Amino acid sequence: MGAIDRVFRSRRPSQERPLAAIIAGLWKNNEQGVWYDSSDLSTMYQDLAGTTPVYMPGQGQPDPWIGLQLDKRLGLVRGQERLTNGDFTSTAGWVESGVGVALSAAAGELQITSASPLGAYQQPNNFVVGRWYVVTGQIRVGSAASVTIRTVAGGSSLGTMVAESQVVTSSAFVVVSYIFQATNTANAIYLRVGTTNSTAFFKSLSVRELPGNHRWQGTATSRAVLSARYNLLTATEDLRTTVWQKSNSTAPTSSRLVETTAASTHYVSQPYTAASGTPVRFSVRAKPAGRSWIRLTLSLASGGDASSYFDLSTGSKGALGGGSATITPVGDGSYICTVAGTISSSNPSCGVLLASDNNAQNYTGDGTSGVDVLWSDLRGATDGIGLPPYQRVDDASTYDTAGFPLYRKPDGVDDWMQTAAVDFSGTDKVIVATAMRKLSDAARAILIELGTAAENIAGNFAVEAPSAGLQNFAARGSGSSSVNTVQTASAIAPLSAVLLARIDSAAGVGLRINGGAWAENKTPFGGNFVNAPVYFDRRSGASLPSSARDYGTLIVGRLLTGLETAAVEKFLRQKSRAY
Amino acid sequence: MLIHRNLIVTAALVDGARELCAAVHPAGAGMFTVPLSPTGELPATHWASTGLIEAVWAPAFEDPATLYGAAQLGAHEQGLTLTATYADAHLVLIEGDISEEPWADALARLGLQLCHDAGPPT
Repeated sequence: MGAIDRVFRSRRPSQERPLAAIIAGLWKNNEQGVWYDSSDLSTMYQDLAGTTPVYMPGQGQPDPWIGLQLDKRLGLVRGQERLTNGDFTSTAGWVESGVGVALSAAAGELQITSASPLGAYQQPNNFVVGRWYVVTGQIRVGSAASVTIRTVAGGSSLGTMVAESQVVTSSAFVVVSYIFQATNTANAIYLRVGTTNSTAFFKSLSVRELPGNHRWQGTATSRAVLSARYNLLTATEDLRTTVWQKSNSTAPTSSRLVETTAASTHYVSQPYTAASGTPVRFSVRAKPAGRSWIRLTLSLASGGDASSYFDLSTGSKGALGGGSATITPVGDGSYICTVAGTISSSNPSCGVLLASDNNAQNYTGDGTSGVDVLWSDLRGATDGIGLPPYQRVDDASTYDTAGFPLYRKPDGVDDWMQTAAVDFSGTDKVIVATAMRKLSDAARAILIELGTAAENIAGNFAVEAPSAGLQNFAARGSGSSSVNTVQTASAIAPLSAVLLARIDSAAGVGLRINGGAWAENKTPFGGNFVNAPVYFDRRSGASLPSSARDYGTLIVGRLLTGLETAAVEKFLRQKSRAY
Repeated sequence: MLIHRNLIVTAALVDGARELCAAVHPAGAGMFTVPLSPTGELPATHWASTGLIEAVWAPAFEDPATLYGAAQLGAHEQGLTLTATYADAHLVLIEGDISEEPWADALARLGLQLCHDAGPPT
């Protein structure tokens, strides 16, 4: 490093520290909290036991569900070893789990021979209930059909299963790992041979704590999915498919739309799902193929809601039928034509209509002329700032993800997550920050809540989207003397936002959207917060469900400096492109 | 492979449905927590789950013998005591409504609504 560089670095103000470093340092004094990042695939698993990582959505499989999401605030640094003799220099520390089990150790491997589906176990007696531990090891079958590692309740009968590794049937060593939340200080690590009168082998076994307030959902049907879907259409590069409904038109190739000889309108359309009142924009990339005029409409019903004619020979707009329109040259003679507006139909269907001239969609076709529609994209008008203008979507499982932020997507019915009890009893101040997109104002919904009811149980806090007044956001702290709630001004769904709530029992509650002005209620409410689970997307997993997207969420058990606040909002803005 | 299913049972069957699903697999525990009724008012006449399940479980929601057999095996594997009977499994699948359609479509077809609990006064 040169002298100039050293001088520059020494003078660089603290606010220029890398954003991620500022975020990672928010809990440097062991403040309580959480940090979930929906864009970090390494922190999410499909199952509660953490044996199956989530995969990138859009690659041909259904969007993956999320059973376990790790809290990044402590860096996911593993704790000390909990097992005795996990390297199997001998059989010391391991106990046969039943009659007919024999153990032998050699060269760092444990061989278990079992007369029935049993094995060996160890109870380290050093687990802390509610904390998370990661089990890693290598296992293989000998003559057994299968082998696995389990955590079981513990005690003389070993008890019920808490978690389990992958079941291995290979005769070559396979690296396995799983994560479990301790249910008992005496939970046992159980090496299980899957079949009778057979052998299996184990080596390099380790159990370490995975510190953090990880959140989970054990029930399959209550798991949110990971998604990066923005374009509401499918078959976006193939007009031939049946999702594009043809009227007096044909699609001889994937992109060519050709009129028939009918004296009528000639178009393709595709229904999409969006609530009435939703602002959307519909874009196609198109170029002439015998016809140069097209009309785009957001909805074939309701008078079109918003529509516009476009001249693909000159790159100009024609008659506008509501909403707004743009046309942008792309090169190769094609244009991106966009119409935007608010839909009024509950079952909208967007359309691409051929036209013989400006404002002339009803005409007698020649059976050969048309246009090429190279792609189509329809999305929420405010859904992400600066995203690519087009997202290819073949079907619900196959779509482009590059450039499109990942988000956790609860269904607004029975999806939710929770942590174990998080001990906020040492503080009366928290910051709750989340990047989200509210999709509905139809009913009050819980985004994040410490405890079971922040409006009437002291020490609870919550962020709601919307609150009881609907078409808003709200933050709430409940204390020893009162309940303090603040609601934002009108914030109508669908709406992307970075929310930052400042909940301080000594100074009241503040909430702001996208780094804007604070909505505040400065009445103190008294007392510290509680030691309780934090619930997401649903109150106590039972009511007030939310369908809001979650791009990332942080809770910090203290107030932040101005620089830290700005960093948090910038970080979440980058994650979500909310504004 | 994950597949979408809506599972809706009457209130009279919900205890058996919950126990059977929890026995089939640990990830089946905690199902049927969404209250439904024709008016959207409590008490619930039906209870529901909606979302993804592993495709390998699909046969258990198509045939009572498969459901009950899977529950028996799963209960044994998990160290659980299964009190639900084959008759419960039969009723859950015969009288329950299991579909692949969008959630809103299933509710509309059955004439049911989510029971909205607005929470305590704020």
